[in-house]
Amino acid sequence: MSNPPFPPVALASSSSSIIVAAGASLHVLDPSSSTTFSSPQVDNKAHQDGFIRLVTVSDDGKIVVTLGDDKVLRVWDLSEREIRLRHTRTAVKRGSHLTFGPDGSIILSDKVGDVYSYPLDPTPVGDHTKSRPPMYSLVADPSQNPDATYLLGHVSMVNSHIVTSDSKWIITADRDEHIRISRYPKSYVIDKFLFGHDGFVSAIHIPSAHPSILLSAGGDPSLRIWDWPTGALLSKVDIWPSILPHRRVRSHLRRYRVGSRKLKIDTPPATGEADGEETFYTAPEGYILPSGQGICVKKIQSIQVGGQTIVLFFSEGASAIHSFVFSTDQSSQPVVHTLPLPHPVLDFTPITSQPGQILLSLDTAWGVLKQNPGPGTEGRQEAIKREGPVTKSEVEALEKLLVVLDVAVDGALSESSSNSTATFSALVPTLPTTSFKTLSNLNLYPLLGVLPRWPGFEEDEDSGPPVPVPAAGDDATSVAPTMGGGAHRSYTPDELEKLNTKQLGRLKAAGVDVGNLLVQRQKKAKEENKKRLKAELEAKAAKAASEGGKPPPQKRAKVDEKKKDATEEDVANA
Amino acid sequence: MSKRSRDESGEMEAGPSSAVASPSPAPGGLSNGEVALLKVPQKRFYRQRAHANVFIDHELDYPKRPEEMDWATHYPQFFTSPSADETPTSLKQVEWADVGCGFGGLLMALAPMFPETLMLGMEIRMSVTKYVTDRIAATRQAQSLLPTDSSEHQPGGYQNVSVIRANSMKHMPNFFAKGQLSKMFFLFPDPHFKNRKHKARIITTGLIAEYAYVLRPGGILYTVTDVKDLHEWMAHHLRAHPLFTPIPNEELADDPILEAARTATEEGKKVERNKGDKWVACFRRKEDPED
Repeated sequence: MSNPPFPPVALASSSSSIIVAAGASLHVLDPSSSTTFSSPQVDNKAHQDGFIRLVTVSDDGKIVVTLGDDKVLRVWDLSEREIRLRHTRTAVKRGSHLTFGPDGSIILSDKVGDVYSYPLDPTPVGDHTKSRPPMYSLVADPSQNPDATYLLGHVSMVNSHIVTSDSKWIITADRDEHIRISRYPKSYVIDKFLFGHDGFVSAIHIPSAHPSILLSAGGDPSLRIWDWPTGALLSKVDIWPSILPHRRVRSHLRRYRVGSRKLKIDTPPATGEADGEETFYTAPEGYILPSGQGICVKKIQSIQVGGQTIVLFFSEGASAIHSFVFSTDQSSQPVVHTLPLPHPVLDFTPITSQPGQILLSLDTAWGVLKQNPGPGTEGRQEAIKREGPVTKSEVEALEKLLVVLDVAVDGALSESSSNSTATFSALVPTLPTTSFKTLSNLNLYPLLGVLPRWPGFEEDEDSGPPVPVPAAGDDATSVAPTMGGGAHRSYTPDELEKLNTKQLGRLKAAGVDVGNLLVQRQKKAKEENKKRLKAELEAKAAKAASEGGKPPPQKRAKVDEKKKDATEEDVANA
Repeated sequence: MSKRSRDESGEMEAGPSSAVASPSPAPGGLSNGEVALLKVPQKRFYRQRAHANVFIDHELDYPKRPEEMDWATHYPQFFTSPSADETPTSLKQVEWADVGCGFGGLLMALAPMFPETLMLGMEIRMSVTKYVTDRIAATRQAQSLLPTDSSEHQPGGYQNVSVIRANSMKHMPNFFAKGQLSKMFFLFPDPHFKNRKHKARIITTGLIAEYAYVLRPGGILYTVTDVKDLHEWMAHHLRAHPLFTPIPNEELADDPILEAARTATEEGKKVERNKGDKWVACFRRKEDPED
């Protein structure tokens, strides 16, 4: 009985090889010679702790850089037959995008919005008198990082970055709808912003054949095409119709409570709408999903097929990949081709040595071992209950992780011949394996819950501890900020009586006249306390009296014993 | 649609009016008898705790790009709302920004001193922004109701000052175009004492690049604080930044703007009452480097 493999979460291509990252290990395949080799083995725990999320490889295929959940940036040397770890450095936060920069440097953007440039090899520690700043101060002040140059920072998660091919500019996209173009390497000089996205921007791309074009997408219904040197928007491509039917994975649910101060939306989200299409993204009763219909474009890439530039993209958690032909003539909407797949797409990469072909990795466990959580689960995903032991055919089905697709000159996508797929399927046995339990608990779709906004959950400072509003009438003010708006209401003495001391205090601070109530209550509390203490003391005294003179003799006995010991010791010491 | 509470004696509580962004009626007196008299608001009805988490999503209103911002609701005398057959004709732009303006002390002090300069306060707390909005509305109305020969007239009638609720750490470029501002004020910002909170400070290496983007070369950035550690942090980071150069305090000794920055804000007055120190650091925005 064999165990299922870790799914490859990140893929990268060099000019001659394909790099696959699964769990915490790397696997290299040279398609022309069909040779594969892997990085050294590690155990299951290491695979989960150091789960690789980002991989990038140099064009010549000699150096690979990885970053995983353990925040360790690893640089590997690739030779004909082996992968050897070159060195490691620890990043400050989890990474969101990793690429090579000019001169072999490594550009990393992280989840708090900072973008760093790491030299390929760590700078030699020359001055030992200057100690390395502790990690918490690097979090506080990223410019102190001794390992890397701090390029720029957004006050928002940076999802993707591109250093342009002329190495003069760096483009960064964040969760707050900004696409920022800054100089490189003097990235503190901002050149411009590309405004227009309505939601988070999670993928940007510059096609190699059109260096002045930028494609961007995220949670918006359309993908935007810009002429980034001038900042002009050239056109938009409507992508939601292509993606919506293929969504498989949903974000986790959040509970919303009616009557809670957090509730800002006026009507609860409609459940079970008549339109069948929307049942995927409607939350069960009492729960809420983030905005944006569950779309999150994860990656945009382009390849050249027969002189045409074909743009490829996919949305996180959807089981399809899409393409369209990019042409400089933007007068009409391009036709978007979609190829549905049996499982959600994790990543894809063009196979450079085989033009017109791309490699995809699929999450074969989705729908088999895990599924979207139902009501009552506030977790990310639910394991599907299984009966009986693992069967061989189940494991075989789980192993169909890698798929090769052909891209036609008109952009159409189709599955490749079995020969091509076979070459890559040879990689699968080399992937690390794990238990069903681990497989069904892997978090492979983190962005779905983190990037969109959650309506009704926006923090509003004014909804501090609410002053209770008497039920009769005045419902209109119940959602308004209480401190700023409700304080001037006049309260009748009866209402004030009903409130507890804490709330009364707040009202008083806000200027409402509470009269003598607070002072009276304090007096009452004081007296009650006094009475209680008195009663306790009396009870204690009474107890002591009833037990007679026992306690005192016990005490004396102890004292005598102690004295005895002392004398014995003295004798011993003397 | 103001909410007012009137107790039996008919006295008017100076509670918050919901005078939203639209301020006073046209200057020159009441057009009809229906406009309610606005009273200057009292701070105690607008209290809110001093700290706000800047990194989370707030229910904020911000334009998609600076060109789409409707300034007419803030400065009705200077802008006309773009309508179908009219193009926005004003060439005036907001030039001074008070980042974290609090209860608006600086703005109210500077507005009559520089009536031709448009200045904007930015504040993240909703109640406090409401207070400043009401204060400006009430002051504008009071000014417009004064008889023409009154000595209490202030130049500009406070028409050149306004406030918005915004997260300036996230959305500064949405409000202002490149190089639009000529002055920025960071007065008594939240010190965020703990190490792990330092990244929430308003002056950080990454954010200085954004401030440099909206501030024109030659523009001045003022920082005043009573917390020495924060002063050293801000001065250190601004000095280290290639786009800013320090202005020695002696050069600005007679500057009335700096004087207002030090003394006119509520925080500044509180520091004076408690006999605390005030630390000042001002920087000039340099030209962008050549390459």
